[in-house]
Amino acid sequence: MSEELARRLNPKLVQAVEPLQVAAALESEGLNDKIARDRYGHHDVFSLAEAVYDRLVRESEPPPGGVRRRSRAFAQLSHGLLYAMPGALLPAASALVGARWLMPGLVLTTGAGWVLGGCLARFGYGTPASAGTALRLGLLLGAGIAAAIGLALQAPPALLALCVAQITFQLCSGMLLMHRREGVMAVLMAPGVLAGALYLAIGEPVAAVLAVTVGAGCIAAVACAAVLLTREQRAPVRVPAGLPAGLAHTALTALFLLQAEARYVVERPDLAVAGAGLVLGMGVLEYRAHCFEDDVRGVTRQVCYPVEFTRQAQRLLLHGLGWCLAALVALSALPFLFVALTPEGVVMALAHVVLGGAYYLSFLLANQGRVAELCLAQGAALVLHPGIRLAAPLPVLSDTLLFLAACLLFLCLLLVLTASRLRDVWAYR
Amino acid sequence: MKVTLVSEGTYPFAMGGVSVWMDQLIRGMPDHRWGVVTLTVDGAERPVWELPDNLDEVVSMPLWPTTPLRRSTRAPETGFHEPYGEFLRMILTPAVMGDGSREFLDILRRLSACEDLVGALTSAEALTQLMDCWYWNRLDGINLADGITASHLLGHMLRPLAAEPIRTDLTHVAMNGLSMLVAMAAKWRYGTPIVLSEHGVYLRERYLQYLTEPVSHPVRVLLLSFFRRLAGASYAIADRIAPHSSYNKRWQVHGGADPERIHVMYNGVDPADFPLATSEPERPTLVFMGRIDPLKDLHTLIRAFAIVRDKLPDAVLRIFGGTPEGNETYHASCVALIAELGLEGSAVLEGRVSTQVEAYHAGHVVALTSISEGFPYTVVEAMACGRPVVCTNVGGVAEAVADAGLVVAPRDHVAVAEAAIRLLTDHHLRHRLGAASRERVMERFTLQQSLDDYRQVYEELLP
Repeated sequence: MSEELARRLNPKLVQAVEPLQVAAALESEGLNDKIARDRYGHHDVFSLAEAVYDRLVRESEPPPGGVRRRSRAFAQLSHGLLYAMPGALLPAASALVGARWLMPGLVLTTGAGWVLGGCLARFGYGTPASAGTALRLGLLLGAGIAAAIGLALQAPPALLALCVAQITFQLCSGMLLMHRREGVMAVLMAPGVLAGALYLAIGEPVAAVLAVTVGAGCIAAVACAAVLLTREQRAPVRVPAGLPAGLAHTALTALFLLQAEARYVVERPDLAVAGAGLVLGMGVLEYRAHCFEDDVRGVTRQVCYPVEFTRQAQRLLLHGLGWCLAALVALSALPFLFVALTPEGVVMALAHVVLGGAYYLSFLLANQGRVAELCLAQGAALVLHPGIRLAAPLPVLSDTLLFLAACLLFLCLLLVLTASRLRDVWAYR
Repeated sequence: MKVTLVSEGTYPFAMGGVSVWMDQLIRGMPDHRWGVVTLTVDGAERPVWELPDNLDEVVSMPLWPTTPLRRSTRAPETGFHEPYGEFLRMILTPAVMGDGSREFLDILRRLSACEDLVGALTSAEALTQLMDCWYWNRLDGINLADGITASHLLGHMLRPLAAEPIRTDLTHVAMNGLSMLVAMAAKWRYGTPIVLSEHGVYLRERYLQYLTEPVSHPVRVLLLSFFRRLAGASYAIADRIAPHSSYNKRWQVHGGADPERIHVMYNGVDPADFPLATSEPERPTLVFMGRIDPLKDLHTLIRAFAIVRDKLPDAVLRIFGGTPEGNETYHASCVALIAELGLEGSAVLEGRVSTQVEAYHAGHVVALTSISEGFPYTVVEAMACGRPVVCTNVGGVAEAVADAGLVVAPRDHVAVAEAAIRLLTDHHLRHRLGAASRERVMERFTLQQSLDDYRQVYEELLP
């Protein structure tokens, strides 16, 4: 009789791990001690449950399912290109306001936009319900900061407008990409890129005015899209956990990169273009960071012991880092097709490649909440560059070599920190 | 005398039978001072009960605090590994239920010395111990992700062990399981005696929950084995065990509880709060009163009602009660079933009702089709109102109803329908059983009788 019962209840009991669990299930089916005795000849439900448990046919446990992957190859790889799109308008903007004004203004605005954008990202991920409110406040604050930069530089009104446009793009593009709207952003910015390219082909002042006007319209469209996208997320702003540390980290990161580039953006085109590969490669770094996290979570389903996990994860880490460095070398070489190759330019490009590797590791550590360690590592690199340069002025080649050394130090520190985190397998659950 | 009442996810943060019982106990013994410790989810829960004057403090002990615990990434202290190894060995070794409970208690006591159990259990060293122990004792497989998930859950579940023990004269625990960890800590530190009440059977409910819980097999094995060991250890350390029905007592004895320390104590209601219904509704009405929950098996009730309505086209099913957070999908499935069976307008989910009496008085018959129960208030309250009941035979339901209502097998919608039709159509039988129900409550299940029983137990432990 218990065979028939086991057969009938098998689908419901297939997950049962011990006879007592079967007893609980039998009682929930209405069986009691009296029925167990009268109908099945067992002393009680517990005894009947043991007989049923022994007769259950168990399906073999399915092989562990794959993890839901967060990496999106095409979309994430495109991020670098999308961030760089306004760059197509730089020649036209430069022709309008003059490189002497444009570059310092844009460097300072980029730094401010970077920090403000990092802050918005924390709102977007930490308290999504208030992301819309934060974006609107951020846009107001950003416009104020950009205007203040323009005024501080005593720049013409056109530069002031360009600074506002630049910071608006940084904030709104970040919000669109956070919401996975890569396609929308590409479509909205495409006319601006075409107009910028047209100016390069024609070279007439009227084309510069046209290109900058179209570009400004595109940025306005991006801003509208971001505001519309977050129109429902209008809860009052609540400061997300870890905002101060996150802000400090973003500020240090922006300071480290921009202080190294700022001196050369006007007079040394070979150094000014050295960072282009890093900008274009940001998508690669982001994508490889997501790949690493997907892969290590997959490893936890394939191995049994933490030591096996750590070994495999270390291999994946180096594999990912290798990919990033290789991609950045290729992308950093591209600009030298258009500008003269110089030792300083090569060193600067190499420094940006190394820094890109460090950014890849930064993504991994930031996702683990290790922001304090990131700040310390970045602080150590800042002591080297510009710390030493500030103490003793250096020629250009030495300065770029020192920056390369600081980037290498940063990369090594982050590699040690990331590798040591791989021993804590819980963090990759 | 000051008594601490301990529970998981109930009073004063949620409604339900256990909360009603706790409120009754505190208000019914105004000469005692009381404290309440409730294991909560994240500590953000707010009281939904008006607190009595003799309740001095309410401690919310979140298992999953909103501010994440600062988890140490350092290797756990050396004193952790030995008891943890024994802990794993005991939960992974098949044993007769109840055997080794004293030993398991001692292991829990030693583990309670570890301040960061989440960090310790999820450390690489502890995960290695888990894997070693699993493969030493079992033939089936486990992967690291399973180990991390189970260790993380166990770490949070064991948090009450590391909390500062509560110091009062007596700890009265409303249910077995994690709540007992609070009582254990107080007993080890201050020697506080423990009374363990069980409305349902905590272990049985976990077993039912994990038949469908979407976790892997190894995680299910680890968690259920832990719950089984914990239940046995709780029976071993409790000074008095008070099941709320004789039927549930079987699980306690099977779990190794000393029958000498078990004393069945039924839930009671105040007859003044549940006056006899003096009239009946015009249309034949079946009433359910309780939360919308899969354990209540409302699908069976709705299917049964479809048969009732075929026979009695005028009939109405009124389902009173709120939907707790997390049960929205089940609520939706009930609405969908009502639509699928073409019962819209006849079977109605009424939502919360201001007083239960209103619900009982609104029907001819009260139905409860649960698949698991302790000693449900809803049955006793309906009986006090003189309403005959149709119930499924789970837990202590048959003891409550006896021959004053109709008891049928769970999940059998045809049997429920036949019983309901019988009561709705046979006026004489309905009135006879209604009167017998009221009489049975007055004789056996009044609040005063229940309070007297508990007072006596307290005095035995603290003469």
